[in-house]
Amino acid sequence: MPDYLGANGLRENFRVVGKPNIPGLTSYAMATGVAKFGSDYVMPDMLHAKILRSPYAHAKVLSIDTSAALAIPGVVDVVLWDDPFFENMQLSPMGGKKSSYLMPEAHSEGDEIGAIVVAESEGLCDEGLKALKVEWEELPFIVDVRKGLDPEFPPIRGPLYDESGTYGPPALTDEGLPWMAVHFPEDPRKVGNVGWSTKTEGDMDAGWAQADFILEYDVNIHDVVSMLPNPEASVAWWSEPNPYKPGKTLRIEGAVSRRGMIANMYKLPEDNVIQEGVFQGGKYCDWGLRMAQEITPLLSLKLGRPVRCCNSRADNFDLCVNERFAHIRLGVTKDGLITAAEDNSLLDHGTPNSSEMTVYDRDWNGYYSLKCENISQRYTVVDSNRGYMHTCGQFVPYSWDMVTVGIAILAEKLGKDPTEIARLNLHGPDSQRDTRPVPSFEACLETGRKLMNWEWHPAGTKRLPDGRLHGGSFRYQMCPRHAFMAYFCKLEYRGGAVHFPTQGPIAGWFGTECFTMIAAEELGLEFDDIVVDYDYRAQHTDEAGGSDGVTGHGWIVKECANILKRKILEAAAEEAAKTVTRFGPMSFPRPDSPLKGFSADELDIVDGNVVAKSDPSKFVPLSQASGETLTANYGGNSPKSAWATYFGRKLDTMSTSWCEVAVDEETGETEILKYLVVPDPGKVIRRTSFESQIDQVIFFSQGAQLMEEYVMDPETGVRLNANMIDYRKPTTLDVPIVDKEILELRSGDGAYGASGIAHNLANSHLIITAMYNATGVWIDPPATPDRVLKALGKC
Amino acid sequence: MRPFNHINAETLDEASAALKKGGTVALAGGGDLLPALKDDIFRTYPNTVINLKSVPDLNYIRIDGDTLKIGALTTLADVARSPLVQESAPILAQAARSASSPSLRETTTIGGNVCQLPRCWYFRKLNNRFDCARKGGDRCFALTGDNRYHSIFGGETFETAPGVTRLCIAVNQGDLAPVLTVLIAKFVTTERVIGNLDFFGVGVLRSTTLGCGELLTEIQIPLSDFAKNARYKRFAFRKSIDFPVLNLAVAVNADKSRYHICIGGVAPVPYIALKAEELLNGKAITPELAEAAGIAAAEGAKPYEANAYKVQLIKTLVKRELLAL
Repeated sequence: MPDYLGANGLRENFRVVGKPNIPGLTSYAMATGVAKFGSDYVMPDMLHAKILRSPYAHAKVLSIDTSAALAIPGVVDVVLWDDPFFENMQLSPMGGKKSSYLMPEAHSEGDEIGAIVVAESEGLCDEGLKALKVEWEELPFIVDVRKGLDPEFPPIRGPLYDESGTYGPPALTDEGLPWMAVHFPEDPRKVGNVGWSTKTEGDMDAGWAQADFILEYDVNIHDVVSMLPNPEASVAWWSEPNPYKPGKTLRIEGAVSRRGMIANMYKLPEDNVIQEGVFQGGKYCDWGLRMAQEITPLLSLKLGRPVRCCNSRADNFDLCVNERFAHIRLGVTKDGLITAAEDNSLLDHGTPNSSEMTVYDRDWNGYYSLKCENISQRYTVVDSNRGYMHTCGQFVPYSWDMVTVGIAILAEKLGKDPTEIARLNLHGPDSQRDTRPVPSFEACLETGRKLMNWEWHPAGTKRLPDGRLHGGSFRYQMCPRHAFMAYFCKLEYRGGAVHFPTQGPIAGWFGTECFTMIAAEELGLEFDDIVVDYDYRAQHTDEAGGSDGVTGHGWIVKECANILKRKILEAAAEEAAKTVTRFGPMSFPRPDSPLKGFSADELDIVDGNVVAKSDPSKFVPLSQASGETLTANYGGNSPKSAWATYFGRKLDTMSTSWCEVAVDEETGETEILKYLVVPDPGKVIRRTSFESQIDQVIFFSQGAQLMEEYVMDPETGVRLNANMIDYRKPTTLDVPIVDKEILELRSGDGAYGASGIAHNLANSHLIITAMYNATGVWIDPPATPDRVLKALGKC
Repeated sequence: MRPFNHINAETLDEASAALKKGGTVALAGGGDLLPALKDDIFRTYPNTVINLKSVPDLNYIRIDGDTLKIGALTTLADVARSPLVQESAPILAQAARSASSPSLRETTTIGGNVCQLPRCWYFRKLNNRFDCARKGGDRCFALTGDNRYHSIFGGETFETAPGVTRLCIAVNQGDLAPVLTVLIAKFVTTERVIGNLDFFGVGVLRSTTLGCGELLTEIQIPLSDFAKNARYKRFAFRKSIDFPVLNLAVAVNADKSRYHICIGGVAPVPYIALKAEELLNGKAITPELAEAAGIAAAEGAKPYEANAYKVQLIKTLVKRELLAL
């Protein structure tokens, strides 16, 4: 639904919003190295800390002899898991169930366990860790979730992680839809390391009965690593009470925008936690602090000196997408209409306290975009020692391919263009029973077909002049917008300028710039006219997330800007009415203001001036409009978004993606010849951010489909490629140029009819599907040349 | 990285003497050594790092008579952009340019590149997690583990007990090794001159035949027909900052009486495809002959299930490079 509810939601003319090449406020600092990240802070007299990491996939520490480590000159302390000092801190709110902050049991290789060495340098920490005499008890482990299905395999999670409380009726949304359910009451109880969860809607028997045939296919998603560009690190130190601030004050840098969380952990009033740095490397929907970011205040408190803790590159290879092996059955009529969808997925549950949302989500699999209402999603979930999955939303775009892969395979079976199969199965704007076309989808589809010169061919039937096989693929998805939380904005007119106080970026993205553009648009200003005050005490933070959140959060900013505008105009009218200027007890006559006699309703702000609507030649610069300080606050929820409310059961803003590949049968190499995205995000706010997110999409998508793979030694469960050489993220030489044709139909429900882009164009199978169209052979990702050759029977 | 002593060597003699004392490692460009130290992959952490870059006169590229001479400390970037190299041995410039990344090529050296340790992920796992045969252990973990990038032409043998031999199947993945092999390079050290066929590999504990304290000082490349009539192909899964899964150099003399074919990434040392060379010697390349040579080059391969693709790659790439020669 367009932005009917908000102020100026249907605005037609934009001066600032949507403008390209508006630089990021922090870009210069980041590009030149001026920016200070958590790992960059150095304090006088600073100590360093490193946490012991498990060399085993699953193990307990039975004892640790610290004497040799403590005998090393420069090693200051070794803190063990049972140190009473840990009782002084609350567990991390995102840390899950733990008996102690630092546990004596590791659930994956590289897991933090048992001891922290504090020393005068990082090198001495390493030396100290080496010198610890650790008595380990190796425990059974699962790094192959298929093997974990064995009911005889001993449970790898202890009683602390009992899940019996998770069986029950699911939470319902306001609309009565079950959301993010883990286990339902009727699900079989967990056996060994295996749990089951089934969500069935509609009438499956009727769905199968309507079908002319059943299509079966597999969609396998391997786990993908969230490679954070700068290591997680923090530096913390304490200062004594002073007359202005009672109680100890904690300074911490590196736990960006998580001041409240840190305050909670250390039982401090939030005002007593100071965190001035704003820089944090970009990361995709990753919301958790790591131990290196949480532990330094405790160590500093214990040792009375500033402490720095920095993860190594190997330490921050965290999972962000869990393994999923889906076997899908579709009931289909002879003309291609899907009548029943049954998803039998085997999923990696990860190590204890991994994000359940990442594992059990069934809302964004794409099934609800179909007219078919008979959907059964049957999950088998296996505990594993593959790694810890932080709360991360990358599964959202990847899971959507459960359906779009089916459409591609169905097209091959029927010899029909997949765009037509999609069109046949996609429901209308308002419900799964709505048979009308979705305008946004139709626009994206037709634009894509035209720009691709789309001529679908059956699999394995087209060769390029150089002999390679040609393939093409298409997928659709909903442009998402999440609006799960209430947002807040404060704008201030002070000293003649508009200020926007914010804590700054939370994940290295440019939400602040987007919000500033919206505020400038509404206030009749240019982007540079608004002063962004980075202040850790500000209530506003870019916590809304990437583009998915910015359009909802931006709606709040838009409302706030209009409140401030009204206050400015009222103050300007009041100022213009004054006949004297007062200075203490004295007053001086003043010349008439050009705006004298105009009421606030008769004024506007245009190009940085307060002007009379009826006669724009009468104006005063905004800087002279009033001497008052004016504040506008606005908080609350933006309008509900279709995506986050109905999970595809209503469709507003859509996108299409297109890929053409060439496959070399003799080497297994795949070249992406063309990659086109046609998104309709409703309205683009900051074009630079928008386009960058699309480029990020192909980085993710190409990496997951052609390169990235997390390899674990089958015998030991040890990660073999937790480094940037052997775990292959694409480089800029690998990533092809993404052609972008952006439509703006204004049918989203964020600011100005906008939706997001992030959980949308990333995908797990568009390139794979094009390779299938080229070769006629299905190749699970990552389709590295060795796998391609094997699939083609060449080796 | 753990603490160590750092010494700037002033002479090769000083460096050699330090290395002979034990507990010392030599540092050139650092491309191989520094990650190894950072990841703490060795059984024993060195107490001293001796810097060779402070030794004068080891960074040069010059023609001396009918030989191209390159100082061991010459950076890969200098090799890649040298007009002398580009003119006299273009595939050497090409191979140097394809290694590593632009910034690392400015520091890493040709000597370091040919002396690099194997790229086995068990060998390279941090904190010496796998105490393998390359470190004096009694097994090769890749044999039973994930060996998708490992040798298809056997391995280095080692004894675990008198008369009991086992294999290590780590491979040499250096970019320059196959090229230098087909160009019949010589390796000048502080003690001798080593021919191209004798430099690489001498068992599981060393990746070159350099003895303790022996330092590579110069690489000599004869200015022959082979240097002019050659091709280099690198097959990697990523276009930059990646080691080749397989790389290949082919060269032929002017009258086509002799072909040289060397393949990296398929054996513990650069693999010379003798059968293919014999098939080709004295003949002009035809599509049929190129295909047969590809098949011959892969003859004798005994791949594991995970690395059988390398056989197909050899067949295809040898064929294609011969046709493009």
